[in-house]
Amino acid sequence: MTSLAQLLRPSGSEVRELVLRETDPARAAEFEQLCLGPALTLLALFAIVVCAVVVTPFRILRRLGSRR
Amino acid sequence: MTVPDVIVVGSGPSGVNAAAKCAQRGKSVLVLDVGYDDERSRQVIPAGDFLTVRRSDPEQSRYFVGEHASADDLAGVRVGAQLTPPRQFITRNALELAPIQSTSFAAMQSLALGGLGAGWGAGTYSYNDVELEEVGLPILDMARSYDEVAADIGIAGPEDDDTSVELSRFRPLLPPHEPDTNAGAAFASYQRSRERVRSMGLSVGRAPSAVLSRRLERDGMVREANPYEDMDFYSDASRSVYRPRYTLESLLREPNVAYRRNAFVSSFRSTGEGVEVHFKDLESGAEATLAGRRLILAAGAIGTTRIALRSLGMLDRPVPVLSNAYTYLPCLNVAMLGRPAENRRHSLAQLCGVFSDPSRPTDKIVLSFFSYRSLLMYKLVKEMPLPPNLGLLTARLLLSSLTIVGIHHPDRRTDQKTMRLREDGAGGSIDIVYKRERTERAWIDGTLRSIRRALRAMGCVPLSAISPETGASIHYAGAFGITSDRGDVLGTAASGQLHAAPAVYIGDSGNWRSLPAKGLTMTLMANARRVAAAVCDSL
Repeated sequence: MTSLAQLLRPSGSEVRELVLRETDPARAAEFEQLCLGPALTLLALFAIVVCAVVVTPFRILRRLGSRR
Repeated sequence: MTVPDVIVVGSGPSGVNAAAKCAQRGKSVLVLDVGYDDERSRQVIPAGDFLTVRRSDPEQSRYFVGEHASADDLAGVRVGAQLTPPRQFITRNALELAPIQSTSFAAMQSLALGGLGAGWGAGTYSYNDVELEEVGLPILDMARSYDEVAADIGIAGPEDDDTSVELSRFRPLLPPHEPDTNAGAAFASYQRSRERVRSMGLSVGRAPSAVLSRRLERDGMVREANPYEDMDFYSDASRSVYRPRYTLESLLREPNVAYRRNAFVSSFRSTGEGVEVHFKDLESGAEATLAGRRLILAAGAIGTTRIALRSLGMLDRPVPVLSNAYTYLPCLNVAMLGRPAENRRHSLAQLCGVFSDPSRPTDKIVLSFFSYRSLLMYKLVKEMPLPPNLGLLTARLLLSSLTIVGIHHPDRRTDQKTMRLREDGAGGSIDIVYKRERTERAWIDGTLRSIRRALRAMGCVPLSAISPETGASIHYAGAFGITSDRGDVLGTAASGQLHAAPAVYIGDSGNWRSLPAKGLTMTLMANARRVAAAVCDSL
C-alpha cells in the first residue's frame, strides 16, 4: 500500500528532470546553498510549509489520477 | 615464481596488508584476485573543486549520476552505502559469481581491485582492549600492528581531544584536518556545552581518518595532502585518501611479490607440503590450480567463509554471521542556519563521537559527522514529501546547516544470525538468515533516543532517523571463531590458523566473534598484518 509520504515524494520522471537540470553547468547556481541569514531562512521555511499544505491535495489528486 | 611461500586471496584492506607484511619479511607472495577496475571513469573526471566542476563540465552527469541511470534507478536509490558511478566497479559481477540468497540481509561483496576498500570512507578507529578481547584478538600484538598500519598508510587525527584516547590508539598521527564550516560550528557548539553533553554520555572530537593532511612518501610512492576540493566520493586524483591498490602498486615493485588478476578462487586443498588453491581464470574460463606453502584467506568475511566451507566440505551447515546495524540521523546544525559554508573541504567524516550507555558502559558507540554537498541535491529532494521545486528550495536553504550523523551499533552472535553454503554456481551460494532479537532492537532504539537527546544538547537537532536494511553497513564477520579447541572444525588459533587445515589462515574478519560499534577497516588491516607475521613465523 502506498503511504502518504510516498505519494507526495517526487515521481521518477520528476526526479529525472531534476537530475538533468542539476547536471547542466549553466544551471549549477540553482542547486547551490541559499544563505539568507537565520531569520529570513526561518521565514522562508515557514512559507514553504504553507505552500506545501496548499498544494498537497492537488498533488495527491494528480498522482492518483496518473496511476489510473 | 615457483611455489610461493604465501598465497593471499583478495586485494582488499586485509589482503594487501597481509601481503605487505609477508613481503617485508622476505617471503615470496602471490596475490590471487579477480581485480575488477574502472580506469575509464577515472579518466573522465576533470581536475578542480566540486563547484568549479559543477559550473563548467557539460559531461558531469557521466560521473555524478551515471550514463545509464533510468528514472526508476534514480528514484529508487535510497540510503545505504553511496557508491557513486566511478566506484560502481566495486560490486561488479559479485552477485553473479558469488550469489547470496536472503530476504533479511542486504550484503555487499566485492571482487574489485582493492575490494570494498576502494570505496572506504577512510574512518580509522581502533578497538579498545575490551573490544579486542571480545572479538578474540590479542591486545599487545594488535597494538603493534595498529602502529605499523598508521605509519604506512598515513592517518590524520588529533592526539588530545575527547575521543582520541578511545579511537586513535596508534602513532604516528599526521596533523588533524581542519573541520569544514559546518563541522567547525558543530564542534564549537559542543565545546560550549561540553560538560552537559558529556554528562549525557557523548564525547565529540575531530575524526581520525586515512586522508592525508600533508604529503607522504613511502616505499617510493608519493601521495599528496588532500586538496579540499570535495571530490572524494568520485575521484582519487590526489591519492590523499588511502586505497588498498596503493599498497599493492608498491608491492609489485618488489621482486618477491606477484599478482594474478582474473582469478576467482573457489576452494583449497591441504597437501603434505602446504596447500593447493583452485580457481577459475575468468579471462580464459579455465579451471586452474596453484600450490603454495601457506594460504591467507582475505576475500572478505563472506567470501572467505564461502571458500573455507566449500574446501572443508561443510555444505548446509549454519555458521554465524555478524553485521553492524547502522542508522543515519539527518540533523539541523542550528548554529549554521542561514549562514554560508565555505567551499574548501573534503567529503568524508569531519567529526566523530563516542557514546557510552550507562547500562552497558563497555559498548562504545561511534558516531561520524558528515556535511552534505557533493552527493548532489536530487538525492535529498527525492526523499522530501514536497513538489520538486519546493523540495529544492528547502534543500538549498538547509544545505549549509545539514549534518548527517552515521551511527554504528554493536553486533553479537545469536542462533538467529546464520549463513550456510549451498552448492550452486562456480563457488557455491550463501544463504543468510538474520534476525535481531527483541532485546537487541529495544537496546538500539533506547540508545538512539539517548544519542538524539545528546545531539540536541550540542545544537544538532535530528530531523529523522533512517535505518537501512541489515547488512548495508558493509561490515561483516563471523563463521569461524578463535578457540583453543583444536577439534573444532570451525575454529582457528589466535594466529588465524584454521584447526582443520593448518596451512590455511583467516586474514580478515571471518573469525571474529563480535563486531564492536565502530568502523572496522583499521582493525582489519592491523589484524591482517598480525596474521601474516604468524604465517611468516611458521615458515
